Amino acid sequence: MITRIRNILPITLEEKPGAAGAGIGLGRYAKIALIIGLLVALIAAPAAIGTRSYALHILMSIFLFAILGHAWNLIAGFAGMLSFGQQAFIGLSGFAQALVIYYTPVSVWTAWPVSGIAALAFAWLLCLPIKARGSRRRVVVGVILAVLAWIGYEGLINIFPGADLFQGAYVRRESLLLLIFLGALPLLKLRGAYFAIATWLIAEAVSTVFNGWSVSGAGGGMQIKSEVTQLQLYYVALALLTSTTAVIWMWVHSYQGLALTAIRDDEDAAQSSGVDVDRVKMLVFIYSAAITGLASGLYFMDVVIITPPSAFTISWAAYIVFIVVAGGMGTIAGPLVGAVLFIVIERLLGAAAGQGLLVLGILSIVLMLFLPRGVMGILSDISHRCRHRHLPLADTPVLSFGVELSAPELGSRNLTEI
Amino acid sequence: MIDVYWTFIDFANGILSGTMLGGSYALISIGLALNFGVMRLVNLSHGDWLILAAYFCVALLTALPISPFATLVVVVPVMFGIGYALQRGLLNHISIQATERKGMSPVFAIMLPLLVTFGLSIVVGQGMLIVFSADAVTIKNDLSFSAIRFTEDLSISMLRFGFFIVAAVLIGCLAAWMRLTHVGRAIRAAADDPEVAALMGMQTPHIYAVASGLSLASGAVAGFMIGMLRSFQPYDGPPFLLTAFGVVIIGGLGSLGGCLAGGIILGIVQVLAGTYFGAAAQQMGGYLFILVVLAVRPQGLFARRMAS
Repeated sequence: MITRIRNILPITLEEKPGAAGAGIGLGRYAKIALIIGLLVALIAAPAAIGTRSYALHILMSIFLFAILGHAWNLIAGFAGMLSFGQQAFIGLSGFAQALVIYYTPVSVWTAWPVSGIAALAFAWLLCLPIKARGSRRRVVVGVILAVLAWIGYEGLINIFPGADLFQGAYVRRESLLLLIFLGALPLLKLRGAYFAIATWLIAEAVSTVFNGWSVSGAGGGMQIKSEVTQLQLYYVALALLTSTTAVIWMWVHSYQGLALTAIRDDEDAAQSSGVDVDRVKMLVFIYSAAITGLASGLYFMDVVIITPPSAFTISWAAYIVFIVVAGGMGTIAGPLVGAVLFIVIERLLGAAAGQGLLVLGILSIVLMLFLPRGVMGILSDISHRCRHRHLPLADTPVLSFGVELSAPELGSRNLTEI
Repeated sequence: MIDVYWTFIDFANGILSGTMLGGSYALISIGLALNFGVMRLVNLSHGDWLILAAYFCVALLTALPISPFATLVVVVPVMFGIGYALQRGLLNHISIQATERKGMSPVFAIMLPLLVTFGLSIVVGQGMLIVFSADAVTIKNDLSFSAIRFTEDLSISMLRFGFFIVAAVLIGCLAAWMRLTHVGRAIRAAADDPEVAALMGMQTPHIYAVASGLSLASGAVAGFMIGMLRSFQPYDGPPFLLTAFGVVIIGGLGSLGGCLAGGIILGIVQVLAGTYFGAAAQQMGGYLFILVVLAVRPQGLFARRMAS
């Protein structure tokens, strides 16, 4: 069978590109030098542009959104799990941090890890039924134990009303029921549109709880008494972004990364080739949730106020989708480029007309239609054109013998980048 | 003795109003089921189009002194046109066949429609915010407070009963149309196997566009109903999408009759959750039920082929 496949590129072994096309047609060492130069410049930036300047705030926002983009790119672009529910982790971790800061005397920076831990714990809960290795009995036993613990807790509250952390019977029952339920839901088994809608539903359900919970401000939200300076936030965000990028780079360029793209391209084939699909998906999902939580913790330290509508809004998903799609799904530099584009467009248009989201929406549709591989896709095309002048790039007929040629748009590009 | 009576009345009222609510859910989800059944497309902007139709009705009513029902004569064809144009201009280019033609990977073929329709949802929602402002509006009508009384304590809303009938009739007509007319049969053929249908000389882009137009036309009726029953804002679309998706999943993917059954089941579950656990539990109960069905029986409680 002859398929005409556009933009498919030969996978050659002598090719060893460095950091996912960070430089166009540059050698490996030039790329490393470029990255180190960029890092040094960013570290020195506050001294150059002033520690309280708006420009520094813009840079910090770019870092935070790039981290959010990285997290989503990891599960959607690399692992193929399209989630529209990242705002569940963003809101949950933001509120966890706000609650700790408000109700305990700890400092803001001690409370910050709580945001990551909250998101991590929630993601772990969502992965629980997968961990049980397909045995339904264990899930049933787990649910029964959880319900017994819940009944015990209700009994305890009857005796000591002070033990009620939720301060309200309805919210307590609602949230505990939701937690037990989510603990039994095999979310990661769902695929495609089902996974997308399920994550969205979960975000909505979590938001319903926070809308009525008096401890977290009952829909009115909470204030975060943060005494952090912009400089601290800047450096922490930069450190988090650098480490996240490094971890994802190493992950994708390791054996695990191959397993990851294998799962994205064909889950069943990966499973039958001996990839531990459940474990890889779980790791990616939990890691992605944790860094999303940490980034949103920083974000809410910066904006100081958190309300359920602002924390759980579907706009978060729209922002993140734009960042990754504009930058290039399934590339490591994609979210970085996308975050720069996002902040520029959002701030420029937000200042000009207040219609950032509309333009972002239109742009992401146009990008998906005409440039589905984003900015990094164009860049790597150009760099390949520089290297392989003799090869025609577009419309190369490719023979495939009953085997699905995987992912000219997403998959094989990454293989060449490894 | 009185307790038994009131327990029964509570339960009966729950079942009755749940069934009526289910009728409106069915109406909301017909369009999504058509999209899903014919094009294998999950249109994430579905909810926003309903709200847009409702805004069209309100705009017409403020401009002209006509009866609320008369707006449908204009809004339904307009929404059909929008659906047709949308499918021809945008959605046909992101279908699975189109992405295959372009040589994209199967994973991307699954992601692309979701991402594009998600973007569309944001665009339509934001567009409505600019044009119609964030104020909550409603379609004014005299029927809001009239009810059908069975006994002293047992009654249903006249309006909801009306829309239940509308949903049932619309589903029946659509199913009959799919069976009896040439275009309807073409739609079913294209749904079964687009490639063979195209080989037989069918204009699948046109067929798909007609199905999409029908989907938004039924969405216009659903939007009109939303406006009659409650007040709405530009951002109200996504919850309707989630509900509609739940109904489509419960009813069996893309089956029109399943829509009615799924809507009624979801409606009863929600109303009973609201009756026994407080009004705020209604929404949560619905979401949890949809998640259960997603997890346990993603092919639907009544899995069947479209209109067969």
